[in-house]
Amino acid sequence: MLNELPKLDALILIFIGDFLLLALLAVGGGLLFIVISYLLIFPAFKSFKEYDNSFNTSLIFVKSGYIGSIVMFVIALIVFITEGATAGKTQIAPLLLGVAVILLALTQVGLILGLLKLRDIFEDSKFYIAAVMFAVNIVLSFMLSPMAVLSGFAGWIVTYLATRSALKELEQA
Amino acid sequence: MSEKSQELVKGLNKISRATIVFISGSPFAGSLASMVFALMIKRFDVMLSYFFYAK
Repeated sequence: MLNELPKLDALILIFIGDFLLLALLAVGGGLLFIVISYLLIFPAFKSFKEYDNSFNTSLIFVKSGYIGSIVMFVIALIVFITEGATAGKTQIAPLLLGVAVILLALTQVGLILGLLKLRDIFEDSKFYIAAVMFAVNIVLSFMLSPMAVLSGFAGWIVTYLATRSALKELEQA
Repeated sequence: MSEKSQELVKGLNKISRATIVFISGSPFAGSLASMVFALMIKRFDVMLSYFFYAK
């Protein structure tokens, strides 16, 4: 029994470490997703809309998602700072952060719709797999599961592979 | 390549770049956010309370 204790402690430490790592990646991913949406995903969907007007719905989702989440994050930060200064503790800041996360999910919905359209254009199932991974990521995120990070990362990796093969296909044509 | 296809290539390149930035940048962004948060809960409250309650 005594011999097992240090092993158990180590296991708990590993579990907490993994959990913290996933939480860290989730926070980082969430923050980076806003920046990426503004700098890369939104311009990309604007280009897609120039190519085909049916990308308009995805573009609206992406745009409303990132603008809304930026506004909510800023308001939440202001509320958080004001609460800290006045020592008044309300639950408004976490609520606003929750709304920001929901709005961020809208951007991801736009991304999923865009990937499904790209699947129709290139007839490449990798786009479909990536869309499914992102959909799973949204569901798991709302269930507050740390596994959401893994499905999100898998979605991004498959998106990378799909876009590279689509670009190769276009170069050969 | 037509002008429309070029727009498609442009979009795909940006999505591809977004994936690279996301995958490589998330750990750093997470670390940065946790450091800023740690600073805020340890120092920011004190700093602001000095600012607001200073006589």
